[in-house]
Amino acid sequence: MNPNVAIAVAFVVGVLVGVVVMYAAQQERTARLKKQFGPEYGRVIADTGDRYRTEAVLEERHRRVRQLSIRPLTATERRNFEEGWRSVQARFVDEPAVALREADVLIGKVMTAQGYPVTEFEHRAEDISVDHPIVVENYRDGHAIAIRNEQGRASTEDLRKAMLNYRRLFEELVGLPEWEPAERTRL
Amino acid sequence: MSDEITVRDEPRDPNVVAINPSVARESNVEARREGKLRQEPIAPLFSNDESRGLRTRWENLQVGFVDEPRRTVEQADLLVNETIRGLTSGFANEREKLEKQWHQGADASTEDLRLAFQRYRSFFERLLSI
Repeated sequence: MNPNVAIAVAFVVGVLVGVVVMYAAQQERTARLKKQFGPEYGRVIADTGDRYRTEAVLEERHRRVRQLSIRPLTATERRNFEEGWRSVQARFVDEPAVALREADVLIGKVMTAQGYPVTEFEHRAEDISVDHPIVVENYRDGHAIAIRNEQGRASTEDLRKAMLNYRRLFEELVGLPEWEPAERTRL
Repeated sequence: MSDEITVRDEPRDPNVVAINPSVARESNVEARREGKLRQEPIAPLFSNDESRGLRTRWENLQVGFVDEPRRTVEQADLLVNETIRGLTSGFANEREKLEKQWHQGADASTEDLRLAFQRYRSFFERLLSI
C-alpha cells in the first residue's frame, strides 16, 4: 500500500474514533445529568433552548453545591424544626398567607443549618435541585402561588396547596416521615 | 397557637394550656365574697388532665387542617359536641351534689340553708360566665 494512502486511512480512522468517543461521552453526560436532575433538566432546557448550555448550567450547579459542606441535621435540630413546622401549619387556620411566608422562612432556616448559603429564591431552588430534583418542583409551585397571593390572586385553597408543596420540600430536607394528622385515629 | 416560628428548645409549658379561663374568672368572683365559700371551692368541670387532653386534640386537629380541611371541620364538630356533653354532665353532677346537701334532712338549719344558697349563687354565676 502506498504510505500516503496508509497515513490518510489512519487519519480518517483516528478522526472517526475520536468522533465516536466524543459522541459516547456526550451521550453519557446527557444520560447522567438527566438521571440526576430529572424534571429540572427539562425545565432548564426550556429556559436555555439548547442542550449544550443546559448541561453546562447543570454541571456548574453540581460543582457549586459539591463545594459547599452540606451536612445532615442533628436529632435535636430535626425535632426543633419539626416542632416549628407544626406551629406554622397550625397557624394556617388563622392567617394562611402569614403561615405560608413563615413556612418559607423555616425552609430557609433548615437550609442554612445544613450549610446552604443564604440567598434568594431562584438561587436557593437551584441549589436544592442538585440533591432534591423532584421536590424542587414542589418548591417552585409553592413559590409561584405565594407570588400570586401577593398580587391578590390566590384563593385559600391555593394557599393550602402551597403549604403542602412547601412541606414536601421541608420533609425531604429534614428527613421526616410522611405527615400524619394525629387526630385521625383518635375520635 | 404560638406566634413565633422560631424553633423552640423546650416544649411549651403544658400548665399554661390547661388553665380554664372560666375557672379563673370564678375564683376572682369568689375572692370578693365572704369566708366560707372560699373554703369550699367548686371543683373545675374539667380536670387539668381532661382539659389538657381536649386542647391537645384540638391542636392536632388544627395542624391537620392543611391536609384535610373538610375532615378537620367534621372532627372539630365532633370534638365540640363531645366537650359540650362533658360540660353538661359536669354541671348536672354538681347540681346534684348541691341538692343532696340541703334536701335530705328536713331539719336543715337556717345557717345550712344560707350556705347552700351561697353555693348555688356561685354555681349560678359560673353558668353565666361561660
